[in-house]
Amino acid sequence: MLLETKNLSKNYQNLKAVSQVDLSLDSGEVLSIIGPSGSGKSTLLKLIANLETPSVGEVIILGTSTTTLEKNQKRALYQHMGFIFQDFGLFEHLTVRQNLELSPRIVFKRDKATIIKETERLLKLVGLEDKIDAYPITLSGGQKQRIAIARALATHPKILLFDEPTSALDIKSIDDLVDIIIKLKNEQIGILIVTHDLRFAKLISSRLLFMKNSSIIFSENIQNIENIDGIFDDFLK
Amino acid sequence: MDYIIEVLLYLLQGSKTTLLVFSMTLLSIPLGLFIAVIRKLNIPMVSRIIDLYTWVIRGTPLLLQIFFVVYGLPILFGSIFLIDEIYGAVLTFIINYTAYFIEIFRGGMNAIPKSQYDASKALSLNPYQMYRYVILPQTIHKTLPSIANEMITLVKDTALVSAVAISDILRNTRETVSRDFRVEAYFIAAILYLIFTYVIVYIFKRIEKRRLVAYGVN
Repeated sequence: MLLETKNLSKNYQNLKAVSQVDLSLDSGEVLSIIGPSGSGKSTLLKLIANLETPSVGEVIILGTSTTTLEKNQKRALYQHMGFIFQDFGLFEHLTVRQNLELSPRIVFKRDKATIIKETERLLKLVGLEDKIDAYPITLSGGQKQRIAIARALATHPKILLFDEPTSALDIKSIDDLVDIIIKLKNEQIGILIVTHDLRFAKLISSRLLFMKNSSIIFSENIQNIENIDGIFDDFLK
Repeated sequence: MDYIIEVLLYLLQGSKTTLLVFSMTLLSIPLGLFIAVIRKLNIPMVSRIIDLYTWVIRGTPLLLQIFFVVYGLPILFGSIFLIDEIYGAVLTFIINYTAYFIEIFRGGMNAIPKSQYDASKALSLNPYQMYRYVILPQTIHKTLPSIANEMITLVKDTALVSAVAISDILRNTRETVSRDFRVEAYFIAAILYLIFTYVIVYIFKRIEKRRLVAYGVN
């Protein structure tokens, strides 16, 4: 198992943002968490990515619980996880190449030739080889997202987290994203996606989780769901 | 003409002080940047101390602070604080401008989207690497116009040292006008200040242009 959460909860004073979430993610699996705004799905993703601290519960990565780890051990374990942010989080002062190469160069200390080769491979994967020297400010929303995916992949993660990946994209860019996610799935990367876009979730997911009022209220493999739209209309009521 | 040259030479002697105070106060930039990073770490007690420091320094006149350091501290604590006026003035300028730079850099850091901080963490950068490679280069870029403004203000503020009997451009101007009962010194002093500020504006425009090209804007 790549990723598990047990009883994962987050409270802000009297507000329950995430409540007792148990989930698991395996290699080559695409797990989509869908639900209305304010249901706690983005907070859940940040708890999993160590960008927020859980109030209760634990995150287990590659069989190791992150709860009791020292800072450095935690950082090492989280090197297996990549995160694609809703607004991409590209470093605006760096070119596409520099964005992709920063972490492999200064954190992973890989040799220069390997890094250059890897950058070219990843840009080819996302179809943006010609943007290698471009600055983020010159890219469209869809291109920025593909660069963000390539940057996350540059550290060779086993798990990828996406926060609302379709929110800033047009139809064509969503189709490109679907193709990329399917490629990654075939490379046995475990993918966890938070989205409110049911059409997109149906296209790429192995399993769907529905989140409402800070809890997961439904979890099912996609092939076992006969009438997705009907089910989720009921949940949204 | 001879009179103009004579006055100019005398004022240029005073400009050494202006340059000294200006160049030493440049230390406030790295100091302000360093303290702004510490402030950004949100350590409750440390943040409160930094906030108090910037509030007091920015809320009181620089001239009052110079008087306090040069004349007040020796009265309070004895001769150990009886330092040369110029050193007292330079120290006060550094303390004063650091407070302003802390706030400028803090604003610059807050203008960087939170997702870039999160992305740095997600890419396994440690806090030092995040500030060194991601946050500080952008902070400096975003705050360049404000830094330039502070530099221009600084050139003019250096005239305050004349209030504690230090010979600078302004003090030498006042002496000349009082002695000769002629106003040319005022114009020469104004030209000298304008030259200083023009050089600063020119340098910062060059830096800004280079930075914009580096960001792919031009």
